[in-house]
Amino acid sequence: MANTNVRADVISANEFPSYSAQFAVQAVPKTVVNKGGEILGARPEGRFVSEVLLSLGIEPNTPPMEPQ
Amino acid sequence: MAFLKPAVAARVKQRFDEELVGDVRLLTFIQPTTGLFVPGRAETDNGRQTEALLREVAELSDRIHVEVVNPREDPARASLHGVERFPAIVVQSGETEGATGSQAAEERGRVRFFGLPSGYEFMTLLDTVVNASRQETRLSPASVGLLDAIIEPVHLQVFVTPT
Repeated sequence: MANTNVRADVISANEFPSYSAQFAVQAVPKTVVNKGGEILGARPEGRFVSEVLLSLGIEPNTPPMEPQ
Repeated sequence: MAFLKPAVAARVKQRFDEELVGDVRLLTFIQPTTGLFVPGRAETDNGRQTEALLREVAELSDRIHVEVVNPREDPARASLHGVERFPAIVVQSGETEGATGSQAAEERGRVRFFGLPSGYEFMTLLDTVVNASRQETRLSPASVGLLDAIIEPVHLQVFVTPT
């Protein structure tokens, strides 16, 4: 919601096994960025944002901030 | 059958009363079960369960509106929202979809849930409803600033299992 370019889906892996298999989901949570990038597991918010940007080839221009 | 225990429903209602500002639409795509029995494959009834759960949630606040679409009867609507798997919930800000045109409506529904939002995903759904109602995010200003660097469409898919 912070950026209208971003569409976020939450997918129940159990209910869509073949779709999940396309992305080789073996453990959750697994975040797929576009078709290629992957983030396994949960992260503090700041690191998650940074990793999303990195997987898009965008260098985060400020150090990741841990949530207070 | 009620999904939400009375105590849970009361807590959710209190949260809605305190936090909801604007209207939220839960545009829900559900493919009715066929009634066909295929050996070795259980036909899930997640669609009907999803609808029942969302209707319970919507009863807790006048701000929340549920619209159920059968993609077989209205495939154009499903493709407008890029929904190919069911059940799917598109969370939108605002009461009506048509007023501002389909493009704007599509843009307002940037968060979608596929499958029955049970367990922890129910909490995620509630957070999303609150965020859509307030049209704000609870990300830190630092994160929002970083996300400004995204200038092209990005699709995040988070695979989860109910806990």
